[in-house]
Amino acid sequence: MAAILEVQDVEKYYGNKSNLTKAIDKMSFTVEKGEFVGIMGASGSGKTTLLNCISTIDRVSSGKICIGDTDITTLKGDNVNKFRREKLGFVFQDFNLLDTLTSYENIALALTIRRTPAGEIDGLVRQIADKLGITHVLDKYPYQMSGGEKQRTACARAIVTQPELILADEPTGALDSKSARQLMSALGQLHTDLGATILMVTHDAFTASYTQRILFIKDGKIFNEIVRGDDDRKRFFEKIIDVQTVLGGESSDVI
Amino acid sequence: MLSKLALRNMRRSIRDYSIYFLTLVFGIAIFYMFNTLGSQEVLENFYRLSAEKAASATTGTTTKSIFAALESMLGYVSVFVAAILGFLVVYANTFMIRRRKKEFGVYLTLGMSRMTITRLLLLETLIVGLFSLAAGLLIGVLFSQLMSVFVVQLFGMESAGATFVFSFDAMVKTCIYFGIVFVFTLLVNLLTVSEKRLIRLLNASKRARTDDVRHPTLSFIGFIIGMIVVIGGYIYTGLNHNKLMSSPEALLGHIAVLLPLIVIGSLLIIVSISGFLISLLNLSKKFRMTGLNVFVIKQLGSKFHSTVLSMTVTTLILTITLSTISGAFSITNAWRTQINQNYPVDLFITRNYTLEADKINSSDNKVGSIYEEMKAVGFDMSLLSEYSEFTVNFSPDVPLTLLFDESDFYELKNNKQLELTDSYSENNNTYDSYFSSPVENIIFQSEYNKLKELYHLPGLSLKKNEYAYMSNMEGYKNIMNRKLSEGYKFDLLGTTYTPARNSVIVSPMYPSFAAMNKGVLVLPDGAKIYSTEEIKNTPLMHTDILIANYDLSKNQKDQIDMMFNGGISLNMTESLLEVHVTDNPEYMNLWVKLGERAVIEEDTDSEDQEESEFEDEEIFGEEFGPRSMYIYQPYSRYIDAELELDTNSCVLFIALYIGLIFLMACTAVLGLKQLSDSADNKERYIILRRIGCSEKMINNAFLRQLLFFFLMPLVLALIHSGSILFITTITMNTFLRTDLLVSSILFTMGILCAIYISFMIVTWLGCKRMIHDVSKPEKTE
Repeated sequence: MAAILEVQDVEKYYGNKSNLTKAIDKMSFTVEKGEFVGIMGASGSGKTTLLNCISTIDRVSSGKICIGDTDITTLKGDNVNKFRREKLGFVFQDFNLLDTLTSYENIALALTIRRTPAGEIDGLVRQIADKLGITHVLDKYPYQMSGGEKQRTACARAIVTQPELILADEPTGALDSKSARQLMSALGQLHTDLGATILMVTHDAFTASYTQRILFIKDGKIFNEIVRGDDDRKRFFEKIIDVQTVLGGESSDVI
Repeated sequence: MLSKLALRNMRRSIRDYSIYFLTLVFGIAIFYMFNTLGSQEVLENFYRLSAEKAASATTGTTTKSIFAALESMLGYVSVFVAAILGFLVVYANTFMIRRRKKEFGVYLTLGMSRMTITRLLLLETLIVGLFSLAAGLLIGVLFSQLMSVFVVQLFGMESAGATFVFSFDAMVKTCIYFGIVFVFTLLVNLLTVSEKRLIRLLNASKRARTDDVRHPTLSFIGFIIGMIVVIGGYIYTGLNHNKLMSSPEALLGHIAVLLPLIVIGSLLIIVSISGFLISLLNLSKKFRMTGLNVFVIKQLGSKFHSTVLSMTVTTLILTITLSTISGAFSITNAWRTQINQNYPVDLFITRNYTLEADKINSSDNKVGSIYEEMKAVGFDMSLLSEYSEFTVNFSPDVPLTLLFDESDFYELKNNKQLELTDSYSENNNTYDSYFSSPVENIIFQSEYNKLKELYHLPGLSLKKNEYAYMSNMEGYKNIMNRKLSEGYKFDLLGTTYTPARNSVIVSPMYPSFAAMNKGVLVLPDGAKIYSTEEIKNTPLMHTDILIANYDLSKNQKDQIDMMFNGGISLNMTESLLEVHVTDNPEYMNLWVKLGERAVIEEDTDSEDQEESEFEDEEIFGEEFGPRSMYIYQPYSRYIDAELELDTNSCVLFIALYIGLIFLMACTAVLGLKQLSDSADNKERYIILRRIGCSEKMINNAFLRQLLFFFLMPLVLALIHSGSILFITTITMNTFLRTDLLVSSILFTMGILCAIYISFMIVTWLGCKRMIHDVSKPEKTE
C-alpha cells in the first residue's frame, strides 16, 4: 500500500524568542491508503495544530508534509485552496455547516465548487446520504436538525467528493453518546465500504476505538502508537485506556 | 472602574464598533452638511434674489411662487434627511447590540446588576457620542468645503457662492438632533438588556435567522400590483402635467400623491422581484448546482427583510437625487444653451417709428442711425466692441397668408404654437383673423448682410425673384422647412418668388429667452412690397435694430448695462413718451437728451427729472404724419437673461448640494449594510474557505451579492427618475427645447451613475478586504 500522508520532521512554534512554545516538536509518521488512523492526546498536546498543518489551514515552521505526491508546505495562494478542494475532506467538531443552506445543499456545495456537472450531483448526494442515514433530513436546515444529523451531514459533505484523505477534528466532541456511536459506526462503514482514508483527532477513547491505529501525542511529540490488529473494539478500547493512564494520570481526560 | 470597562469594551469590539462609529460619523457629517446650507452665502444669495423677484413688478407671480415652493420643499427635505439618518443610526446600533448580547449575558452571569449594565451602556453611548460628534462635525466641515468646490468645478457654475463658512447654527442643530438619536438608541439598548431570560442573551448569536421562503405566485401578484401602483401614479401625474406649473400648491399636491405611490409601489416591486428572482433561480437546478450560486441565492434570501427595506430606502433616495440633480441641471443647461442661441449679442436696441417708406434713406430724414443718434447725445459708444444696424419693414400688402394656408394654421394651433405668441387671444383665434392682420417682418438682402456677422448666419445672395426665410420657432420653422424643400412659390405684386435655399435660416430676430421668432421674410434689394404709391407715402411702421457686443476690456458688463439700461417708450393711455432712466443721473441725462431728439418737429415741452414726459396729443390724431416719434427700447442679455440664469444657478446649486448629500447617504446605507453583513457572514466565509473555495470564488460570490444590492436600486431609480423627468420634459417643452433637455439629462445621469458606481467599487474593495481578513484562519491553541 502506498503512503497517502507523510509527515517528516514537522515543527511548529508559537510566540516570540523570549517565550517560545513548541506546539509540534520534530514529529514524523505516515498514513497508508485506506487506513483509519486516530490521533489522541490531552488538551494542549498539539493534536489540533497538527491537523491544521496537515489540512493546509496552518503553516509549519519547518519540516515536510506530503499528501499523495504533493508537498503541501510548498503550496501557495490559490493552489492551497485548490489542493484542499480536490484532495481533502473535512469534518469539524462544530460541524461548520452553512446555516443558510439545507442539508442537501450543504452536501451539494462540496461538489458544485469542484465544478461537478449539475446532472451528476443529485445522484451522488442521495447515494452518500443513504449510506449515512440522513435521507430524511436532506431538506432541513441545520437549525432543524439534531447534532448527530448535522455531523453526519458534515461527514457526507466531506466524503461525497471522494477525497484522498478525510481529516476529522473531534467529530464526536459536540455529540451525545448515542449520536456519537451512530456517527462512528457510519464512519467505520464508509471506511470499509469505500476504502476512504481517514485521519481523526480525538481525546475520547470510545471514539478512538473505531480506528485501526492510534498515535498518542504529548507535548508535541509522538509518545506511543497502538495498532488494533485483530482485536475487537472492546479489547482495543481497553488498550487505549491503558495507554492513556500511562500517558500521565490525567484522569479528567479519560471518560 | 466602569469607565475603564466601557473603554476596554470599545477597544475589544472595535470591528463591530467601527461600523457603528462609521455610521454615526457619516450621519453626523451629512446632517451637518445639509443644515449648513441654510447659513451659506448661496442661500443668502437665494433669499436676496427671491426678495428682489418678489419686489419687482415685472416678473410675474410664477417666479415668486417657485421660490415659495422651493422654500417649503427644503423644509420637507430636511425632515426626510433627519428620518433617513435616524434610521441609519438605529439600524447600525441594532446590529451592534445584537452582536453584543452574549457579552451582556456574561456580565449578568458574573453577577453584575442590570443597573450597572445600564450605567455601562450610558457611559459607552456618551463616549461614542462625543467622539463621533467631534469626528463627524470635523468631516462635515471639510466635506462641505470640498463639495462646494466640486459642485462649482463639475458643473461650471461661477456665480453661486463658492466660499463656505463654518456654521454654528448647523453645529448646534446637529448636536441636538443626534443627542435625541443617542437617547433613543440607548432606550432600545436598555430594552434589549432587560430581556428576562438570560439564556436568550447568551445564545443570541446561535439563533439562525432564516426568513420564510417566498411563494412565486404571491411574488408575481405583488409585482403586478406594485407595477400598477407606480405606473398609475405616473400616468395620473403625466395626464395632469399642464396643471403642474400653475401653482406651487398644485405642484406640491401632485408630489404628495405621487410620492406615497412610488414608495409603496417600489417596496412591492422590490419585495416581489427579489422573491420571484430567488425562487426562480432556486427552481433552475442547473443554475443552482453550479459553483457558489446556491450560496449566493441563500445569502440574498437570508436577510430578506432588512435587505428589502434598505434597498427601498436607497431606491427612493437615489430617485430623488437623480431627478433633482438632472432635472435642475438640465433645465438650467438647456436654458443657458437656448439663451446663447436666442440672445446672440450683448445688447439690442430697437427703435420703432412710423415713417413714409420713401424717406427712410432720403436726405430729408433728419434722424440718423441709432448709433449716430446715441453718439450725438453723448453715449460712450466706444464701449461697444462690435455693432451693426439694420431695418425691418412691414407692409400691409405682405400678409402671413402669403405663406401659410388654413391647414398650416390648424397644424400650428394643434401644436400649441399659436398660444405662445402675444397676438393670439380668445377673440383672435381663427385663420382669417389671426393670419390676415399681422404682416410679415421683411428685411432686404443688404440688411440681412448687416446682421449675419453678429448673428453668425450663413451668407446669402438672392436673385431678383428669390426669397429666403428666417425663423426659429418650432412649428413655423417645420412648416417652412417643408415648404422650402418643396420649392414653394408665391406671387407678390407681380413677381413670382422662388426659394433661394431649401431650408429655413434658423435664427432669432428680436431678443427673447426662447425660440420665438415666427419668421422673417428676406427679399432681394429693391423688391416691391407696397402695392400703390399712396401706401408708400403713408407713414408706415419700421423697426431699426442696433445689435452690439460689449467691449469687456473697458468695463464690466453690469457697468456698461447701467448706461444702456434706459429706454423711451410710449404711454398709450396718455399719449406720452416716457423716458425710463437708470439710477445714475449722468446716464439719465443722456436718455433725456435722446428723448428730446426722438420727437421730430419743434414743439417739445418741458421735461421732468425722473420721468420726463413729452406731451404730444397729435400723435394719435387722425393722421400719423407729418411727425415721427422714435421709440427706443434697449435689451441687455445680461439683465434679461443672465440674471434669470443666476437665480437658476442658485436653485441648481441647492439641488446639486442636496443631491450629492443624498447620494452619499444612500451609498452609506448600502455600504454600511454590506459591511455589517460581511461581519455577520464572517463564519460562513471561513467555512467556505475550509471546504476549499478559492479566493476567486469567494470574491466572486460576494461581488454578485453586492451587484444585486447596488444595481437593483439603481435600475429602479433610473426608471423612476426617467419617468419623473419625462413628465418634467413634457411640462417644460413649451418653454425649452426637448432635445437640449434630454441630452443634458442623459449627461447628468451618466455622471451621477458614475459617482454611484465608484462608491460601489469603494464598498466592494472595503468589504473584500474585510471578508479576506475575517476568513483568515484564527490562531488555534
